[in-house]
Amino acid sequence: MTWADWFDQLAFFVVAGITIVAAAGVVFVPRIIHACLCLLVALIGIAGLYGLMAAHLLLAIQLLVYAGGIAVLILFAIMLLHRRSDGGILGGTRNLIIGLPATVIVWFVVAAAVIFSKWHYLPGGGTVSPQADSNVRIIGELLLSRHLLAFELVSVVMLMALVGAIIIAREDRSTDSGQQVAGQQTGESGGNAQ
Amino acid sequence: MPYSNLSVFAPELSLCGLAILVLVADLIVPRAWRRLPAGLAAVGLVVPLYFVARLWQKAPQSEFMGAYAIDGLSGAFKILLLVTGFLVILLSFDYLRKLQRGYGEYFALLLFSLTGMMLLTGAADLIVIYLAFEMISLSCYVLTGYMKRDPRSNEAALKYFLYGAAASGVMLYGISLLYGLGGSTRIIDIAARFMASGPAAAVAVQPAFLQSALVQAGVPELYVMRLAGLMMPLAVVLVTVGLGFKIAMVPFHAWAPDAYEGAPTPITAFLSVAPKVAGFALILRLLLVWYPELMGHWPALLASLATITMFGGNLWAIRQTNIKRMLAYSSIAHAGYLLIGVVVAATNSMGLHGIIVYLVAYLFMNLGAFAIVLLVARNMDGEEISDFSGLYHTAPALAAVMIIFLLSLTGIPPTAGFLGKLFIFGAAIGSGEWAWLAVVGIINSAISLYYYMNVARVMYFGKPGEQVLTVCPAGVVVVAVVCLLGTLGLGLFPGLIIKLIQQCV
Repeated sequence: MTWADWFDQLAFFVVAGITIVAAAGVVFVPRIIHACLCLLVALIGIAGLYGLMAAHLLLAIQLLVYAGGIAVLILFAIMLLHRRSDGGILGGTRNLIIGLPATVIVWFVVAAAVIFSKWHYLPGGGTVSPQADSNVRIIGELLLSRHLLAFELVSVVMLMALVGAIIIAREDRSTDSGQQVAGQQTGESGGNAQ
Repeated sequence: MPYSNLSVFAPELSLCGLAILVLVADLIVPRAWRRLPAGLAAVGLVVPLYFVARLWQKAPQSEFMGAYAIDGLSGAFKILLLVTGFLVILLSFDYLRKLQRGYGEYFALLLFSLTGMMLLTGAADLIVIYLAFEMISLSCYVLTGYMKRDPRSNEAALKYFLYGAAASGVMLYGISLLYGLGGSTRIIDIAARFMASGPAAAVAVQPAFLQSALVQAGVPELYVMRLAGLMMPLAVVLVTVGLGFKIAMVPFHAWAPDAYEGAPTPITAFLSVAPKVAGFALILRLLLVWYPELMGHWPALLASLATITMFGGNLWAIRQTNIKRMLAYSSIAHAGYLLIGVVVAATNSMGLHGIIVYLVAYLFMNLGAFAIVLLVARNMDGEEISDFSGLYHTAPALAAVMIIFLLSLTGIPPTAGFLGKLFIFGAAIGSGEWAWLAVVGIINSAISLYYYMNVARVMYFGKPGEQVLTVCPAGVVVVAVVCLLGTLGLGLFPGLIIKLIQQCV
């Protein structure tokens, strides 16, 4: 094995280890907001595993959809729901003392990276050539040929899950078992919003 | 690129279209006409049924580049599913009368669930299998918790969801291992890969990706082979857990009694029949494609699971006082009888026919029993066995019909249940190797006689209550009559259905 292989192995164990620890954190951490942050780390870790397997499209999707979209959405939902019960999201000055320098340092590192990078301008108007990542092409073709049925099925499952989620989540003012919940607001009528 | 021939996919397409149509119709029609979409759901099932029947007689073929199979076996299961769906929709009309919102969505979800089940009967690709599986599960969770004001319904849905999510995860793990070992998501390709490596390599297989990855990582080849030999049974066991959950097999049944008790009664009836039909369809397809290369030990594993499923279901059923809970445990026991058929089907087509005959019988007798439970619960406002007390005196016809369903569930001639058990146990005895399973099945039938006849005893000798039956919703009565005709017709004139099944499957 070459040094590159050893590095691959090492990278795998580091990334996989972080992912597993973070995933365990989702389950065992007592505060839900911390669990959500752990989930974010675990999702990014999985993106790292995709990267190690050279599945670049999956890496991008994982980062954009799961880490960037879903985890942040869950975070928002928790912040909105737990405004009163879960203490404050912003702590006292203790967090500020660590947080402010950390933010400034990260900002400078990113800014330095942007400024000092040698940007490669692509020849031919700046579009990526199709061969640059054949991963995308192969996955696209497979999705619409070999896995066409699965691809279409996912949309039906999504639609159904959407309908189901709305039914479960929406406020139900009906009296389907004859019992009225105490403190129900009388000003709203349940019938007109069919 | 080859284009798929969508005409053979017409049943699933039309059913899915019907579900969307019901969903949209519910939004458009005024509130006073809200039964219209529901009626549409029931009547519209004729369309997919017509397409299935038309395709049934044709030669087997596969579509979507081998991801979906259309053959006599899946055709038979699809017809069973559509009939179940139709009867459950009829049962639901009256039960949902007090529901203020989500009337149309209920039927749309039911149809989506049916679509998923139909897809599962023909799925020949691991990803499609998983998606169909999720489609069934997600809709069933919501339907179980549909009575949001009823705490029992909430609890049932939550328990069903938690167990179901865990089972899905376990099954997905098994699927990912199968994909890693087989190098393809098509079940037929996986089988071909194992067949190519010869029958001697049934245990020590030639894994595709995993092996090369491990060898590259410097693991000695001998250990890689051993590891792969261990992983294949592990993958099969993990998939079995997922399937066992769906058909409520002991020891993966823990969700069933609570979910069955808390769910709206028509959904309980649906859950007790439809997922079993779909689950057994998938089990049979995997068995027919993968036996014996991948699943050499599967019959032995399933035989032991069948034994504990039968004993577990029947022994727990004895202690129940709630009729829905009792029927839940009895349906677990019936999954056990059906598993005998699967064990035999590995080597003998008798088992295959036995399963279908049994499922036809089970469909009628179980839905019939639930129809009677619905009628009694509607009038007595309770679902305990004690609510059946003295039913013979207040409603003799109803009590007599219930007795017929109970006798059929026990397996006493001349009912459909007898025919089903005759076929399954007959196949087991005919196979020689599994004859002992038939003995276990017969012992269990005797145990089940005790709790089924306990209901009969309460109905005939119990003290009659004050109430008399006043409300008889038309839909429920129709289901009871259809199931009665089915149960007796199958028992008295078995020739017709047997000929049809032997011709087409």
